[in-house]
Amino acid sequence: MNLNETVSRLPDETQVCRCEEIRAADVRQAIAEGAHTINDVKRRTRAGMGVCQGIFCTRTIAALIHTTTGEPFENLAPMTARPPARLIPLAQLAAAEE
Amino acid sequence: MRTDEIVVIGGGPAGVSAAFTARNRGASVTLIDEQSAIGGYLRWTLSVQRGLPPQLDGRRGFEVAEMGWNVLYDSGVNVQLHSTAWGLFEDNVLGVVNPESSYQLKADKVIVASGSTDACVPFPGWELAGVMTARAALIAINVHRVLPGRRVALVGNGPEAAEVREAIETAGAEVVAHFSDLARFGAGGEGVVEWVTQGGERINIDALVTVFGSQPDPALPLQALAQTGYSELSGMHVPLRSATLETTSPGVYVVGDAGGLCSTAEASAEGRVAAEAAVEGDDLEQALEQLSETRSVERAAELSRLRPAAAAS
Repeated sequence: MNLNETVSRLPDETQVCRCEEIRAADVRQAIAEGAHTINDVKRRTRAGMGVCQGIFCTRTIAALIHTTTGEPFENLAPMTARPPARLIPLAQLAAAEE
Repeated sequence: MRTDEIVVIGGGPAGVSAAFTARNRGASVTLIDEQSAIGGYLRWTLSVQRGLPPQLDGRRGFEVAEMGWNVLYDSGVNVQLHSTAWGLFEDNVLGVVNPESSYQLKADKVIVASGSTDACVPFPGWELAGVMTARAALIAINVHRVLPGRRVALVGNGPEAAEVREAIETAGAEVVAHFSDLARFGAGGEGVVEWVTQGGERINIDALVTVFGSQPDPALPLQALAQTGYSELSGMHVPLRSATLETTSPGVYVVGDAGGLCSTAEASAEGRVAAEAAVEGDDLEQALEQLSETRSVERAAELSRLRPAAAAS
């Protein structure tokens, strides 16, 4: 299955980022407005800022940018990785040892 | 703050091999895994594993996982299960939580063997409950003995699709439809998946399993600002690594699928190389030779491109 072809024909109303419920249309609009890196799309739409921290949507966003702008994947670096890498209860963090 | 010489993140084939090798060189080693047992993806696969040491070779995944568990416990590695390494900070300090405590752990060297996640490709309805990836279905059936549905549809191809299909049918459910690609494909239902279609009539189902392959999960080295490059073979950016698998973040190594998708044998050989390098062991040359034997020409060529600039020559 070719990811580029698949995302090219993705219906506008289909979600790209499930955690933040961001649709393909939202990402396409951000790209049209000049968001040409994965971090740009993340900042404009919140895609990748949810529970999975971009695990589900990063490749889709990269393919949407690539198929729209022709930007090579080499230049589409992953979104900035921030802790926590997994969903963890805040109460546990608050109780951390020194 | 707790400290240890070598901390390994992830207890799949790469991490177990790294921990075992470092421990055998006399290092003090902690291995952290978020699951209830070590073995990584081997725990939920029945597929036969090749290219491993004689006592493990030709056995099914879950058997290799169990044998690795016994060897690791006897070796004196400090194994921390149900433990999530959620952050990797300056000076190789890790944030770790488990159900009882939360602590920081500083390591001389960190070997990240965090494996892969299932790749996700969107289609109409993929956000519905009852839609899951291949590994979710295999974990439900093979580890937890839970059927994900009675009337199941699959989308995707390859050996993993065949394995999922066999697991579902062996467990007593029915695979009512199998789609090879996403052209005109969609699922629907009221909150939960109830049907799939590929442009024609709707087929009633109660679970949909997507089989789109795996992708590396290098979140921790990326947090530590390791430089990356695009891997065509893995379909995404991965950390740049030296010949001995160290990233551009000093003292942070990446082995196994987290550094780019690889076989069980290659993951295990990578773990050994990184551990020999991290503890400056005597068998690094031999470990590198063993690793090169596990790699395809294509993979070796890609990895030589994905080296840090200083080590590119």
